[in-house]
Amino acid sequence: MKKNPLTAILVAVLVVSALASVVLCWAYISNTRQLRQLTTQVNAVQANERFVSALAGDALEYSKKNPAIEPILEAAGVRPLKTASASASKPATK
Amino acid sequence: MDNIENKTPVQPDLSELQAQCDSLQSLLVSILVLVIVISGTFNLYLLRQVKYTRTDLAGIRPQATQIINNYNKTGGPLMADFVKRITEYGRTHADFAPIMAKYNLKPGASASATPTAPSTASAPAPAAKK
Repeated sequence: MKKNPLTAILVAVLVVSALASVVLCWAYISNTRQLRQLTTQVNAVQANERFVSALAGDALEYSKKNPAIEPILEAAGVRPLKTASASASKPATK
Repeated sequence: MDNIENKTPVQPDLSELQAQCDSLQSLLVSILVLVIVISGTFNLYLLRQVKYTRTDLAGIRPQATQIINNYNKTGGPLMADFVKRITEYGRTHADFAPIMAKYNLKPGASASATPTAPSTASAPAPAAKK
């Protein structure tokens, strides 16, 4: 059977193109996956920060009615330390 | 029945076969060219997508890594400790129960439990350490 060189060349080009498609697909999927992972992690961190921030806000509001929670808020830095504010205000009173 | 099977079909002459073969050959070449063009277009599209995602990744990765590392090193433990203390406080103070309920904090939960989002908002789980 007579072989057509053009057909062989076209098939070779097609094979190369298919391989390139596979490589590019892999690169795209890999990049997208990394991007999604990073975005998910950052979103989770930000959600946690929002959660704790809202909790701290409510706890701060609650501390106006019940000061027993103040040490926890002071330790977390949500509320300024009483001793620091007292020592800062003392020289002014003298 | 035997007559039908033994009946030989009319043999096309050689030139007609050659013409059909040439026609098939040209059809094959045309289809190959078409598939190569489609494949090349798809490759171009993929190439652009890879380029865009790589650019996005390069832009996001440093900031995201910094945010995640900061959270894992300092922010996360501090927040977990704060939530733990708040939870312990809520265990002994009944008037703090509404806030506990709002944030879905359970007094019986272990100290290492990570905080969950308030019931009003949906948030994914905290980031896993890399």
